[in-house]
Amino acid sequence: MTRPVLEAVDIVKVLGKGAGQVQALKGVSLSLASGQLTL
Amino acid sequence: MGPSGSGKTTLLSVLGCVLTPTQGTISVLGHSTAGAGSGDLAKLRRDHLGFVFQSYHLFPTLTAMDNVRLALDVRGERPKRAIARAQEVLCTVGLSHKMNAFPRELSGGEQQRVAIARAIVGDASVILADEPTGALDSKSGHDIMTILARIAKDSARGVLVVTHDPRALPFADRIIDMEDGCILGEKPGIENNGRVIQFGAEAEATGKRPSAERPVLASTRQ
Repeated sequence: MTRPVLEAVDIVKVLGKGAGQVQALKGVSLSLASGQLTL
Repeated sequence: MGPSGSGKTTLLSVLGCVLTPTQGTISVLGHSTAGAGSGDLAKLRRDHLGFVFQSYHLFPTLTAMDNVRLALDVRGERPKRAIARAQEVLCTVGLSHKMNAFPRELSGGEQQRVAIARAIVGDASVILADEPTGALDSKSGHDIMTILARIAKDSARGVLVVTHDPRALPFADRIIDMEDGCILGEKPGIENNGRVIQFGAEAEATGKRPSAERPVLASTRQ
């Protein structure tokens, strides 16, 4: 197992304000390892 | 991978510390970005993250060499060392003969190679690419994905490519499917459910891309 170079844990991202608010990311978790190409 | 509007680019922006997450944590090389100020995040991006965009984002008045070298200049690298390193990475992406060309003198694929050289010249640990083949023809797209796969393997960087282009699939070690802001699942790229993906001029000519002609870097993964 290669070491993770980047990790995201339970990411939520809300874009916009008020009535135009959008939840663009809804609890995303992932780990990116060195030596790997991830799509 | 995912359709337009699935959140791919937003995720890339959050992972790249360009956008701050509303909730959750990002860690780069084991260091959390929680509570980091804009200056800290800028330094983090400069030192550890490289970005590649669909539209290249090169400076039109600078040569290929100077576009790449600029990434080292802002780090305070000594000029002699910056020039040598820029030459080295431009050779790595196959542009040793175009170092003094301006972006307008380069094809789309060549411009994207310059952008990749700029992303890796500072030895970033992570390369984040947003639709890097989106503006390219099939052959150039194939070449760019080959370079990105080689960068991941040879330099032990982590490379994340955001795309909705299925032709990129053969190059992946891992495939993460996104939709509506959620990760639907993950699968190893080499398996790819046994599908054969066409890519490149030869595949277009034959109408088929035999599995043996898959990119070497992708097909030799353990």
